Amino acid sequence: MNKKLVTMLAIACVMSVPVTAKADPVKIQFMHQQVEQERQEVVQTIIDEFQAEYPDIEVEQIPVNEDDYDSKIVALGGSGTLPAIVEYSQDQAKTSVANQFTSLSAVQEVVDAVGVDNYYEGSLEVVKTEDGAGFVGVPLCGWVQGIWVNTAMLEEKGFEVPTTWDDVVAIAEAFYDPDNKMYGISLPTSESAFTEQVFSQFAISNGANIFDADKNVTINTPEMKEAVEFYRTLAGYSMPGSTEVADVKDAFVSQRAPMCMYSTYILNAVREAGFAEKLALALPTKKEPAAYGCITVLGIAEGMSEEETSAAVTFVKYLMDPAHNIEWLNMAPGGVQPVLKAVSDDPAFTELEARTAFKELNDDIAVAVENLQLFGVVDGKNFMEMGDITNTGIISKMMNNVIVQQADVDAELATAQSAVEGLLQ
Amino acid sequence: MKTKKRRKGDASFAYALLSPSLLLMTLLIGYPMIYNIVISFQKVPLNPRLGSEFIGLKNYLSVFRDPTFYHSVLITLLFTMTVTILSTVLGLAVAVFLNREFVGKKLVNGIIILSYVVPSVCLIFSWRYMFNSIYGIVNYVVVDLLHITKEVPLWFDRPVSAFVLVTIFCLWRFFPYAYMSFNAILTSIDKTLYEAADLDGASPWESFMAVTFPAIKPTLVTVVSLRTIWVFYIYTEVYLLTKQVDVLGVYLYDMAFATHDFGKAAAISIVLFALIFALVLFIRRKVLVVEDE
Repeated sequence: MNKKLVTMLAIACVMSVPVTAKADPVKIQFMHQQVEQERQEVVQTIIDEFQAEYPDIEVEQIPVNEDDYDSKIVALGGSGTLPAIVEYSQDQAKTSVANQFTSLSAVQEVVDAVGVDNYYEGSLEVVKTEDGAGFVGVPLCGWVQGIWVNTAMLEEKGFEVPTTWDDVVAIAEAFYDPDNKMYGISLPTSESAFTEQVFSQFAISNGANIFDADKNVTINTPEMKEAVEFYRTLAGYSMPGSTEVADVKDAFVSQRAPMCMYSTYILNAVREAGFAEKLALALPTKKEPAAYGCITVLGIAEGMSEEETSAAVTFVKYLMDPAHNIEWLNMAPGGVQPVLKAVSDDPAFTELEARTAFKELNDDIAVAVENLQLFGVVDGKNFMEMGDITNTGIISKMMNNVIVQQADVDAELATAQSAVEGLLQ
Repeated sequence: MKTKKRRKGDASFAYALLSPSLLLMTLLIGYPMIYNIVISFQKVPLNPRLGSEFIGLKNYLSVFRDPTFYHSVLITLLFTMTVTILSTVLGLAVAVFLNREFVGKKLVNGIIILSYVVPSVCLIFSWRYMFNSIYGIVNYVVVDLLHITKEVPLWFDRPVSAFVLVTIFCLWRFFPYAYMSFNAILTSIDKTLYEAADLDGASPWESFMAVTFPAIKPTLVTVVSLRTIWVFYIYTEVYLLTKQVDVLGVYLYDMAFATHDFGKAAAISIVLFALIFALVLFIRRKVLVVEDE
């Protein structure tokens, strides 16, 4: 009897050895917006390569449609089930930090590991926390916005790529011929975030911003007024009425305007329209050049176990390695741009067939990323309330009222000033 | 005594059978409603770990002190009444007109309900392209072909023209629902009733009031009630077409959801519920004169 018992115990011990010796891999989830099948396959390839290198970590991707993304973040965050790693726009990242969804220490660990000097300055500047001490996420990639110029059209009338506000107005005036459906520039004027984004470039290039460094609201200032009046003048050479993303893009791509304000996502449309080699990028410049852009960041969730946080940090570091970062960027050539200096010159990035047509623009785009500036980012401080101001459309409503509804500039500036002050209270 | 006991037993049995449904309704409808009322008195953070703060009537007061709220209420009431009345009348008129046999009736039915079954967003962007300042067919006809105006009219940028266009769009989009509802009931009316009215020398209008109207009245009440509720809360169609028609759905989004202020959103939704409840009750009791059974 004893012999039997001892034998059974021995067998049980032997059988349990492999189970206890090999720990279960740490499972983490990665939520992103790359829903297209081919993009999901690229993401899965990166994950598979990562798991081969780190067998003790298991990453599950959760692709979520762009339209549902905000509500998904809110719903998952609200129920305390946010995935370990989440792809955010800079505004979504700010909201998540404001609601304590993101582990700032984990994000800092990755940024430090990547090296602050290896990033373009502008890309880090716009994702700083409100006190300027940390980052709302790890910058992964981004897009920038500026004045796209059809140099062939400009050459016909003897113009060069504009470098100042006055240059832009002079070109716009020369091309404006509404009877023949030709416009001097195409830019947005609707009550939309796009209008605020484009206007912010002109305002910031004139030294105006929504806040000063002490978080006082600075909308009703002479610099902002000058920028509003300039934008109104420029909009006079654009298409009539409230114009939006599609209007702006269509007018430029169909060569009804020699200039437009748009993001790097216009590149593919221009290539298809056949004038990619005649494209230049300029930045609105008065007191300083100013580019608008959106940096995509990776957030690491707060409140996870130590193992999960460590696994998430390891995976994000892996994605920020230039070789893997290029794999990510090559999913959507043309639109997204690198935030790491090492990537911009890497042949694996520049020599991709879909990107070679715009090789000449790489330096201009890099300059734009370097000069990235946003409303709400002042002296290294990134005021989180800017997201709410954008969402409530206070600035774009002011611009639409001034340009389309022909309202008084001073009155609109005063209204916007008090609306933002009210929102802050 | 025995009957009373039996009745009591039957009632208990009936309640026992109903209890799963009642429980489900309490969970699915009652709980969210009560939760909504509770959070309307709170400042609710997105992160549940941070805890909500009781702020009394602050959310309600900020709504009632906002002049744009009253402006939105007036615009919404005007818009709801216009769309509900016109879409119901149009639906009924088309249903009465087509209430006969003719070749291609199924095809005509299909064409009529097309605007109702196509996703809103497709229709909205088609309309926006129709009124586009460069490519739009409407502006091409008005400005380039007929030279009615020299400059392109800003259709969706002026409050009055935007209101009229959104109303027309909603009429076109929603009247098929009324049409389908009335069409179904009209086909069930006994034709001999119309023949009898004819023999009595009734005019078409008298025949409609004496035969058709009593038959369609229950459907009419349902159509008007539902359409009132749906149009009252309208958001997508208005918001994507224009920013010049400040209906309550847009107000709710701008004031609360855009800033993730769920407490205020809950307060606004309760105020809207009270408004729509009163409106539907008024329509049913005073306009359509429905008696409680």
